[in-house]
Amino acid sequence: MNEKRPDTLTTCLGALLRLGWVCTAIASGVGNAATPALKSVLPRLAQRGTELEVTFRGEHLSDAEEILFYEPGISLLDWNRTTNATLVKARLKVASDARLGQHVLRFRTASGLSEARTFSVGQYPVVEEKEPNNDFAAPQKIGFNTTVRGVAGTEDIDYFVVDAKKGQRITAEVEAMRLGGAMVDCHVALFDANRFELAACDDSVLALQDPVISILAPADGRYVIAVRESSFAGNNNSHYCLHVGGAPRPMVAFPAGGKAGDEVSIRFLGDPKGDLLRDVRLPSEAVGDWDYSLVDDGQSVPSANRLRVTVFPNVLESEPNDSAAAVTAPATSLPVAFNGVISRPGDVDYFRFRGKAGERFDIHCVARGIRSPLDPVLAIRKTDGTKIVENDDAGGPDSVLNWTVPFDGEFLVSVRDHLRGGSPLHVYRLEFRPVLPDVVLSIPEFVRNSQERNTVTVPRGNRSATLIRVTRSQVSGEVTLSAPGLPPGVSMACDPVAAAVNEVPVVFEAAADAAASVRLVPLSARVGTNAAVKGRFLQNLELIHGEPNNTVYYQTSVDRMAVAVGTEAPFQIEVDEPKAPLVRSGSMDLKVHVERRPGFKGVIKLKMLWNPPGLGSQNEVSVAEGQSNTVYSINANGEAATRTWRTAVLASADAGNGMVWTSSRLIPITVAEPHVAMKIPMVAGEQGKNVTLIGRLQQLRPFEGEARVRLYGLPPKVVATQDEMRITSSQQEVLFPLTIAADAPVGQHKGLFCQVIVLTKGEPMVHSVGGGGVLRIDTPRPAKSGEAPVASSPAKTNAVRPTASIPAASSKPLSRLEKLRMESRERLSPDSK
Amino acid sequence: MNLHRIISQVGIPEDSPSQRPGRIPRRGFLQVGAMAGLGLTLGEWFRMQRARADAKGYESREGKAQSVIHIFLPGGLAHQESFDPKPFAPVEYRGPLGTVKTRLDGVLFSEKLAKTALIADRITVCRSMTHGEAAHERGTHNMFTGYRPSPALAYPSMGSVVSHEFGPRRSMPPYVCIPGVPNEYAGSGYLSSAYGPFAVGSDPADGRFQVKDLVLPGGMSVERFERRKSMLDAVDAHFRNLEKSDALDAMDTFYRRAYALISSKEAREAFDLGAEPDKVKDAYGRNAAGMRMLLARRLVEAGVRMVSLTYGGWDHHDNILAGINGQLPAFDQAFAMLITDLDQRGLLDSTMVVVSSEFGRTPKINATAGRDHWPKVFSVVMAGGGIRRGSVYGSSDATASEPDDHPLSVEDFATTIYSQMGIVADKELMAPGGRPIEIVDGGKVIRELLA
Repeated sequence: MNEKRPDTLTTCLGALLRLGWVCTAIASGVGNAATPALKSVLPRLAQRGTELEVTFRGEHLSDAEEILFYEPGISLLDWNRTTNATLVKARLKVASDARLGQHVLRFRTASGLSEARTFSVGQYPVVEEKEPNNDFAAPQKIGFNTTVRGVAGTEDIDYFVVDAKKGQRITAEVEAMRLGGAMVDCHVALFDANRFELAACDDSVLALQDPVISILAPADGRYVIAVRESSFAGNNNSHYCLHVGGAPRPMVAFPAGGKAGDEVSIRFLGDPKGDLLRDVRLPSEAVGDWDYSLVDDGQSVPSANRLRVTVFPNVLESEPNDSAAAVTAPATSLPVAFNGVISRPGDVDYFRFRGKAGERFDIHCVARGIRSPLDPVLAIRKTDGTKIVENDDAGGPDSVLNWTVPFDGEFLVSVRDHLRGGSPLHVYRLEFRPVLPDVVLSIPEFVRNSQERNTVTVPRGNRSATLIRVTRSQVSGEVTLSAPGLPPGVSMACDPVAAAVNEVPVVFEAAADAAASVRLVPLSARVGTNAAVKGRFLQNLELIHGEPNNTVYYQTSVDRMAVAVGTEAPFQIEVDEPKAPLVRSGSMDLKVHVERRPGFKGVIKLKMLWNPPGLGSQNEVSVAEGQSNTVYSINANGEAATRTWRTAVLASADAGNGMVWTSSRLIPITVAEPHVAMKIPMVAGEQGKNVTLIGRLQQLRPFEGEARVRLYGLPPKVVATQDEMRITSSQQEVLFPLTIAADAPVGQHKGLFCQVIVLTKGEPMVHSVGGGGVLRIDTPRPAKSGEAPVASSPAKTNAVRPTASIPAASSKPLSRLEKLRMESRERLSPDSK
Repeated sequence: MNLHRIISQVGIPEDSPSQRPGRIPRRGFLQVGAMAGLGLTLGEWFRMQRARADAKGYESREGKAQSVIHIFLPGGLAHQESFDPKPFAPVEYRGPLGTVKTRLDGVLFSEKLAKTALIADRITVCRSMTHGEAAHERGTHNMFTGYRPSPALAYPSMGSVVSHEFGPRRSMPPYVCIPGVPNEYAGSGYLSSAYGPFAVGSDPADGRFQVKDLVLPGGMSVERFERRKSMLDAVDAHFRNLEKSDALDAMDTFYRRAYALISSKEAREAFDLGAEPDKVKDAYGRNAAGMRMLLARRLVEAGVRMVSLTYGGWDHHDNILAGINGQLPAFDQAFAMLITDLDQRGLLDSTMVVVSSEFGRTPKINATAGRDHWPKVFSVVMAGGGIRRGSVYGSSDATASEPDDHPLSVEDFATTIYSQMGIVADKELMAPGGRPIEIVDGGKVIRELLA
């Protein structure tokens, strides 16, 4: 089965990731600017304490200088370059004490950083799968305690055979999706020599789409392991690693965590040899999710079990606790983590606790989060069992409640399985987390389902910019970012993040002599003067997408932002600081200048990094080949806040070896109240006649001199005899005489509006006013007897009635209502009868 | 009971393409076209003569539009980047493209519709199409059936209703899909699957394009086909001896008509793009848009009542500029040529051409330089078959966000098309369970759309 669980596998590499580790190798940098892309890493796994050659495929890799690992354990020994920029080989050394499991890496080339990929470290010697191994009768012989690197191709079943003694543990675990390379949903089965299936697994709670089996050998003999794509639909890119051996394989831990720094006695459940009891020293910081690799008989688990490390202690369930009445244990004070097992179908666990009115808690019942099969339903109750509040799935299958204690006293909390299931593995951890302020910083996704530009490369002597998303929880106010440990020669410019805003443009600048380097920067934040909130960087890295709709199947995360200094870019941009403000409901053209390095003529694309609230901009503007100046249009809506923001314009171009990105410095944009507003009352006229459109002005702020007014949106065959008018700050209306041709389209023509341009400090402040104006064109009324018929052509109209109906500019034009009244009087007057 | 089951029951060994290379697949033996993806045989398709059971009855008589070519642009074409540009809107609404003047005074199209602009005086653009379904499959359902999707009933597509009402003309299937059945709503819904579309089955833009089931499978001679047919006759005769039934007699008739279509020279020629001069192919454009529209013209010329064709993918959530630049010019050329060609051949007055899509796209350009789903207002185009020449029906507001006047509903849109074909859309057809269901529920004919 292709079980789809998009978001539960965010791997926090925890404290280890905080160490930072950069492996450097000397390389002959090619030096032309590029954006490297790292698409594949093969092989994706090695045994610790070994060396191996790894092939990296991607784009623009020929000037690779460094492989950046986020934690120690793997180092680069040497490059084996080819002339092919899409393929680089490197010899890596995996330290004997390297942490087992997944390691995140990036390439740094002379000019940029690649997206992140992963590489796994295992404990067993590695062998390659050797085809043909598709026949049960002729399987590939492998040693016990081995990892096989294989490919599950189309309609391909790979058979491997091991020898085992009676009672020996045989664990077969596949890493496929968890290699982070491609969508590979594997199935594994274990047969005895007579082809009786002893165990089989497609997906597992522990490893999601990856299968895990572990049994005790029932007799001495040969055991065959079959690996395939679960629907036989693999391809040449369906790589997997099969770990076969006597490794322990507990499925879940109880209690699954504890208080930071404590030594906790934990029972690991689900291993075929029975429960494994370990005293586990938890990290000294409350890191939340924490992966623990249990060791038994000298072997580590093939993949770690998930524990939780929190600031509060554990309370373990004590049966009987199956009903409100059965809970006899005294009430516990909060905060705390209740730990229990829904040990049989229909089981419900109750705990008693004491609360103070007004205390707030985020209550998480973590079950899938610690890889338990339980789908919890959580309820807070009064001591008589009456339900106060309940939740099933607010945390995915797990339950989450944001709860404020309603009164001083004792309460009960109950947990059950949604489908009333239960087993000794249905472990849960019910955490009453105090509500604490937090700020998480990340780089938003610029390109859908892509890691593109989630790092920063600053070209030497130039600028680069990114956007930082600021996610506040339980805290509000202005946030100030700080970036300790930037590469030497790099500085960062960033305004405080206004309380109502959750994204901020950040511009980095590298000195002309900054050396090529990269740093993993633990970006942090301060909220107002609240020193308690530190803020932290957390970047999700989506590695595998699949149907439907590019669902994320596998992702990991890193806790530091990669910032590098790259080679010089062939261009630099500057944006003129606007002297005049941008008015609400108005627009403005930013003047952009490009300085090209000699020889670079290419098209440069400009893109606004961030539109402040209420402001809009062109999506993209091109600076044509060889050109160096352009304008970038921005506008403000009628509700935009009147204040000054700073943002930046990004520039990108293909410099012959991929895209290069630079940025302007932060440009201040001030939003101001408009000087003038306008209303255009409905104007109506007949075909072939002339009318005057009135714009009624509302002077809001005085301006100096004259402003220009242009009318837009006239229907076809209607022209304004003068298309631009001038107004002063004291004028109350502006008149546009219109000529309606005899064949102008009849009906209501909406969409009229005016542009008013006020000059301030020599720069135009463009106002869009009078929106919603309507011009109605009617067919001519039938001629009265004795009256000359209405002219049917524009030429005739002009000839017969030159401009008679256009009122003199000095006379007050009639409003629509006044005209209707006049017409009505005319009709009713005795002369017209 | 279909042929396959009959053969199974009398023990004739089945051809198995995977096991016996070189043998003709069973499906290839009698199946003409990939019928609605359901594995229908032509025989079933011909049952249409029998399956009529109407309630609120109005007799359908051929109307001004004797054929309809429905050009469907899957994914949701942005109205702003096609038939309803907003050059005066703020930049984030306006989008990246400029405009082009059309043959109609004051009417602008996207700059990528320059050729269509020159035939704007022969078409009607409806800029106020509106429905509330922002999901692809629901929007598609609306535009193919004239109904909002219902969990209780599968509605027939317009083509299947036409097929039900009029049946075949000049040996041609009444409802043909190019290149394949585009979606599950293009089928026959609650009507018998006999009214499902005849799918061409491959892309006319493919150089080796051939409607495979209209020619005998490779290696099969006419004699061999006749021998197989006589084998079937023997089976049928055996059944007739066992049992007397109207259904058997009817099925016999269906198969005879199926054979007639296979052997019809006219049918084969209609599907043969090779018969078109190179000049015409070049004028349409030798690409998916051009060849599909050219084939559509050949088919309506030969008697097909409804041709439904799809072109491109218009779900431009990201980088709409590249998406439009890559696909709209080919559509523009082919569509302008189709209208011109039909007009020159005197077929435009009897052939309605409809361009529709699932929905429009959001007024504002999004963060990834695209536009998202927007069903509140979008544009469709109608031409020929009694539709007014050179007009714009309805309008959207200043930012292309809502209909400003004359909102055109799905029901009115479908009713107008049916009406022009001579079908009263208020007519009830019988759904399973004896439920009479109107062809369209509550639509009205929009007179302003008509010439």
